[in-house]
Amino acid sequence: MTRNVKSQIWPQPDDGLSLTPDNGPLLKVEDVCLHFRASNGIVRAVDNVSFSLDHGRSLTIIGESGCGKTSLARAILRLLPRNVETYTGRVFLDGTDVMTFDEERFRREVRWVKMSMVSQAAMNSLNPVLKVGLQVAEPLLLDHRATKQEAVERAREVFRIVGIPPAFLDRYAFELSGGMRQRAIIAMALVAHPILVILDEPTSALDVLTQANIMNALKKIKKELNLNFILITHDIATSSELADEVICMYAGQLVEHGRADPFYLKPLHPYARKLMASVPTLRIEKKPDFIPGQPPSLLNPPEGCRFAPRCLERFERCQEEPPLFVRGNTAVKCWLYERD
Amino acid sequence: MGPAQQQGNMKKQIRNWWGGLKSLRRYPSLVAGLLIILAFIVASLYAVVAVPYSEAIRLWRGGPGVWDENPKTAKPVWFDFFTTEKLSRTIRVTSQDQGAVHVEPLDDETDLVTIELPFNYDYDTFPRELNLFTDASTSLSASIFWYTPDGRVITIKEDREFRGATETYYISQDSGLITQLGNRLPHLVLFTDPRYEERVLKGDYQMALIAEVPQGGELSAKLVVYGEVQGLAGTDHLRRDIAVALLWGAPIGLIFGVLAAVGTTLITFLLSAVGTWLGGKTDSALQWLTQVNLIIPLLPVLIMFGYLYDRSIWTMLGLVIALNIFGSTMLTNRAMFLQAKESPYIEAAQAYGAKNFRIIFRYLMPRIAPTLLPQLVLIVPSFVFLEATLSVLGLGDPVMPTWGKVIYDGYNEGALYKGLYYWMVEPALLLMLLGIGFSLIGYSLDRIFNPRLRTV
Repeated sequence: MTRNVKSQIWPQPDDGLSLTPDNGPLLKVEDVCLHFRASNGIVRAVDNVSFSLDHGRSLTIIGESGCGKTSLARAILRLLPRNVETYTGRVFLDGTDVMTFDEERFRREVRWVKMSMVSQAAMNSLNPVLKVGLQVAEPLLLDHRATKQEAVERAREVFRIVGIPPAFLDRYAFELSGGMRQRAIIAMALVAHPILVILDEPTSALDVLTQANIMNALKKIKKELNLNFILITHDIATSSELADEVICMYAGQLVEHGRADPFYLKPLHPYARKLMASVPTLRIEKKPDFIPGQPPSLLNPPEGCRFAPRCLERFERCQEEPPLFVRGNTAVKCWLYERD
Repeated sequence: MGPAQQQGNMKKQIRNWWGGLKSLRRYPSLVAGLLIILAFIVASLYAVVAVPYSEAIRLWRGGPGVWDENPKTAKPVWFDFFTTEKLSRTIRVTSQDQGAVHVEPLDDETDLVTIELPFNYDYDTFPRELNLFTDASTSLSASIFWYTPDGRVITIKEDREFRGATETYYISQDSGLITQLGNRLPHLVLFTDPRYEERVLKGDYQMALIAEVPQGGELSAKLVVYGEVQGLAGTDHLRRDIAVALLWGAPIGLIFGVLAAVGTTLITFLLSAVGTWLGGKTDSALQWLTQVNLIIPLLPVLIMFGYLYDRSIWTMLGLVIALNIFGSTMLTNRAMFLQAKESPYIEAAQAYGAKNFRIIFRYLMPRIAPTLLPQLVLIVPSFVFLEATLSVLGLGDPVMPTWGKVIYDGYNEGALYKGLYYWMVEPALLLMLLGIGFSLIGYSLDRIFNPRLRTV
């Protein structure tokens, strides 16, 4: 009989982190800033981003390359590179401000245990000299979270969940196909029973068929385990499959946050509108649109609204930075929505 | 996992091993190198079993009684194959075995003892030397005669006084006898065919000792006719059998080389992994130490240490390891670790909370470890050569027989000048062979483990 691994992994109830819906939203991000030091100045990768995500809902973050999507995910999980200039703001996970935790406590109690991540270079994220089964069990073996037997048992379970035959537990990473490796990485993110999984472009570098398979697997996992996903992608077509809510980012800032269905049909922010118009569609005869100009440098972003220099609908107010205006279920950072 | 499954796994593992061994055929140089090193290992094991360590040291130290019956600087016996003449070999005749002892009572108190020491001399070249070893219970006097095959009798010495103990009569160096033979060396004259100049008379010789021995006294004698060739490897100026040193040089050289290589490689590997991962001051300190150490020449430091402190091979081993840890491999390892350190899977490991220790030992080091093996095998001979170099410079271990010390002795005794090539060529050849063996293995392993060199 296997012992209940879950009871070993969950933090004890009195440590300030308990899973009760009364604590408000699952994740609440307030004014998170993440600036990097570069040789030619300060890169403002994430600038004053705030949003919240309720229990049982999944979120997609979309935007161009280099708009700060991955940096936002890293800021939430506190996976910071060495050249961080500023890292401020508050992150509430299930009502607890995890930003107040020191690094050791965060590592021990939050990262991977409550929030895990499938990183962008997922294909290369497997240790070439460890068997995949052991590699997937590895997060459980740290800090004696579980015995080796329990960990391997749990790895077998998550392999089943992501749809890898158990025989692959004994193989090395190079013996797996790209899709298999991606599934193994997802399995590794699930292994410690997190409540929130951040998927950073989980289907990039895969062919279309494998992408679809992975997305289907993720949908199944979401339903089966009642997990919350944050999906980061610039592939807007795939993003629509998993999302309950959408955040659109531009130049390090959140420009629109709303429910998925209205967003995909009729986005509000001029940038989001242009972005959606650039997606080719299968069934409707439509010429994909483009956005004039190029994304601003995050070293020296434009004053006021950062999209203004490329915006066809700009007016005088755009010289000042707009706040987030709430329109129904949607928050949008544009002066056009100042009055209802 | 059930026992049946375990057994299946074991079978699978054995099959894997066998498959791996069979694939070695693709690398004939690896097989050749492995065979050479295997031969050295077998020779080392034989040396350790057949001649125990203390015995080897006793033999090599020499001293009275150990090598008395060996000729000086004799060539190895296989020299015989390359000459048309049959080279003389050492003959030992003792009164107990081959000889005959006749005792006649002379009067009430003394016996007349006649010891006959016959032997057959069937070689084309003259012997090197002639010595008579005697053991008498009391002091006595004896006359020594020499019977040649053609019936001549030569008086070697009349009424020589023997003290009551073991004694050696150096016939070849007896100045009286040399004068008596017309200023010619006894071991040449005694074996010369009188019909020709400088030609050996073959046949049955005999030496006779006639002595008056008090009743109840004992006298035994042993005649040694020293040959020109001796043993598989020849002998040196102290009559020592060089084969002892050549045989024992193998385990000493192998142990020194392998320990030094493993010691430096592993410690450097560990330090460079830790330094590169931690970065910052640790890394700087290691880099700084390495760069300073790279400028300091190794050999002068070892020579200075050897002269001032200690020349024991184990002290030298420790010093060699210590001085080689911060060597150029530290830099090459660091270059590889810097690359591996940035791998996404290391970042992933950090993401799920692996700490420094785990990352270094489970993620970083196994990644680079395969490149270690060829590196390790390739530096073994350089350490064996280093030990030989120290010995040749006179800084070898004072008691242990090593290849380097044989070369050192040969050099000091002017072996090449005197035409005693075997003395220095034999150990040099063994050193070369060992180096070639390790190089063959090392470069083949490099081809296997270094993906850029792998041939399709």
